Amino acid sequence: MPKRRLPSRHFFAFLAICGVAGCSRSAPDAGNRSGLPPSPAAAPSTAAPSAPPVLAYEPQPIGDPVHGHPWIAYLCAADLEGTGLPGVLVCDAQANQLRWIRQYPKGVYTEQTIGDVLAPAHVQAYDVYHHGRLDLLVASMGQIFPDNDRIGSVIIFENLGGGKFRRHVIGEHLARVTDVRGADLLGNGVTQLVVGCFGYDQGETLWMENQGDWRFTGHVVNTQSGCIHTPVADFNGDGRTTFAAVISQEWEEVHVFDNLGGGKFHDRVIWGSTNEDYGSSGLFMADLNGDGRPDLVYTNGDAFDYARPGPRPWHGIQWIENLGGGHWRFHRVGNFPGAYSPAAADLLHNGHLDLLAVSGFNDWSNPQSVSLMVWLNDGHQHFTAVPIAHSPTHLIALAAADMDGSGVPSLITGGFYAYPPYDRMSRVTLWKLKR
Amino acid sequence: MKARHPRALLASIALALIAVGVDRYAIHRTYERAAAAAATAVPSVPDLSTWPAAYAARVRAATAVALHGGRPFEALQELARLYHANSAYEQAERLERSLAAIQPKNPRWPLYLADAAQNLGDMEASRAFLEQTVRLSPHYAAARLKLADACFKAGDLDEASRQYQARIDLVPDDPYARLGLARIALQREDRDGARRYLEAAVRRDPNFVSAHNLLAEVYDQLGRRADAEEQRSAALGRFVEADDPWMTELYAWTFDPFRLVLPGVAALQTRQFSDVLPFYRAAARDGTNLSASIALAALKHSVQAASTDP
Repeated sequence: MPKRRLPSRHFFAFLAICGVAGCSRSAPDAGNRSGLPPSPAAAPSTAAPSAPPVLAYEPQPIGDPVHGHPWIAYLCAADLEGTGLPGVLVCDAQANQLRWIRQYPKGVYTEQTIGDVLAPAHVQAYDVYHHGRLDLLVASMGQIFPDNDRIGSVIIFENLGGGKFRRHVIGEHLARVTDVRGADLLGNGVTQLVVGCFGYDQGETLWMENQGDWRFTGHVVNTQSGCIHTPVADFNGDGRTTFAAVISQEWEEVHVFDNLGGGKFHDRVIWGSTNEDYGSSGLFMADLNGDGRPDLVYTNGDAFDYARPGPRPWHGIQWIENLGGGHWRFHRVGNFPGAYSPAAADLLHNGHLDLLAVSGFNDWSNPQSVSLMVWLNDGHQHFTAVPIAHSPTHLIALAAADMDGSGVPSLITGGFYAYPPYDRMSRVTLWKLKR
Repeated sequence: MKARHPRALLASIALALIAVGVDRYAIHRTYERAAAAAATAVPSVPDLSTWPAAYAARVRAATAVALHGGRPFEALQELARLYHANSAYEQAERLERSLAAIQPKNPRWPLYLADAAQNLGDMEASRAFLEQTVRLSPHYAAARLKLADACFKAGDLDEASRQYQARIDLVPDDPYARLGLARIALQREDRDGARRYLEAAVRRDPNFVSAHNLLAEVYDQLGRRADAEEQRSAALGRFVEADDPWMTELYAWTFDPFRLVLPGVAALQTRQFSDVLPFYRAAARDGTNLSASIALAALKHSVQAASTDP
């Protein structure tokens, strides 16, 4: 443990004795005498640019109204009925339920329960057995707040059609589960699962092998605690599906698990911060520069573990460029206090993927604190920050999707109110582009 | 012999005068550079309305002295440390760059710059500053470990390995470097090598949670389930960063109650009870931070109880 120590004043006393005060002051210092590295590229500010591009959204609450203090841990858009009218899947950690805000008819949203899940943290719509219907892969933490007990589970709601689902508990007694994704990891057309278990002191990242008939067996690939998200893609361009993981806690690293074939994976750190308090909060896969290689968008803004939740100067958004051949390059995009839930979407329909994030832990005592931000891409991955909303506050869930068939993505956000102020609350909000 | 003494005395006096002159000239140059740097490096005072009054007063005073007073060098240092210790990294970085140019042999400035760069999300710059720090101060073990970690996280395993080994040369019983070497071994699929490093780490520090966890994973991979379970049961608790005395010095300039409470909480969780109260007392020192004051009162009781609890 660090010990406090007062600075030495002897050097100052020595200067005084030498009569420095009488010295004249003239020539300016010449250049960089220290041989220090050049000034780090300043991250673009999150303040509004001098001439911000016109981009505004109209918020519309959808689904059930606010009751108490909502805890929407995750949400995503999914067209479960194949109608072309996506709904919204919602991980409601206050109700301990997976909910579905169904869109029918167009523009009319009605919320219903799919099933009970303790502290749901992630859901993916994925057709596990290729039966033509999207099943729901759900990560259950067991409890949102810190707990080292193995109370997590993996649950799949099998889509039976007609709005009916059958619940399968795929794995239980796991460290708190924060992500489950379907993936053809063995290259045989069979769905396996990639599972991130945050845990607390102990956690793990694993893949689960499909034994058929909704039975899976786990294979641990990493036992660091703090795994949050595990996006899946062919990151190496070798035709094999692999996955990445953002691992927080004291590690603050992004890993890629190279698929060696035959169910073997090689764990590789592609980026990490030496700030053990960096606050990793989300990882999202997108080919940001359109070079055919999947990149990663990454936020750090978590403050759940603090005695006093709130922003930190290092919170922000970045992308990690996939250079191919297993090489990656880190790019800081901008500061954003409390940044959560990174996403990418072509918001202006101009062929360039823009970046998005919400804030769960900004300084809510300041009404100017931003809760929803986008960074517009000029096509060369130069990003301009555009604040979208200051209210509602405490947002940790965000998705972008074309909800109305217009080709222009709308945004969907979810509020998580674990600490005050409670004066600008929301549950699920649909944000439509103002034209 | 007697005739030589006056000449020797005169020579000594001359040398002493030259030394004083050189010294004064160096100091004079330092002050010149500090005054010049102050004009460009001193940031305008940010909004400090929500900060403790004592902090705001010290920032304003140091800014005024740096810009207009007679002691710009001391003021620049005071200001850099005040900003850095209270998480104003952009302001601190500007000042520390100037101070590093004025004092190119002082390893603290690149170390602080590395910390600022890290906290501004620029790990590449942070690594470069750490390299500068270890060049200036090869025996400062904390910088070695940070550089090794930065290399590891950048995927430069060879350099990370060299730096971890250099850290062990400086701190032979260090568990952190052994954890790093074990992680490198794992990245290279050398499970047996990882096991040896981790066993050495937990032998040296039986409370080193991260090493226990990783050793459990390695034992699992080696099919030693019972050993893995034993490690897991030993691996409960909080990770504690390795000591970095030069960074710890900055707590003397910290006013942000939250920044002071954090190490207090860490000390409490790791049962380093003698370290808990000073941080909380500092957090509550201006009397305006109600939550810190309440926490301090509660802590006094719990620390007293915990420290007597075997």
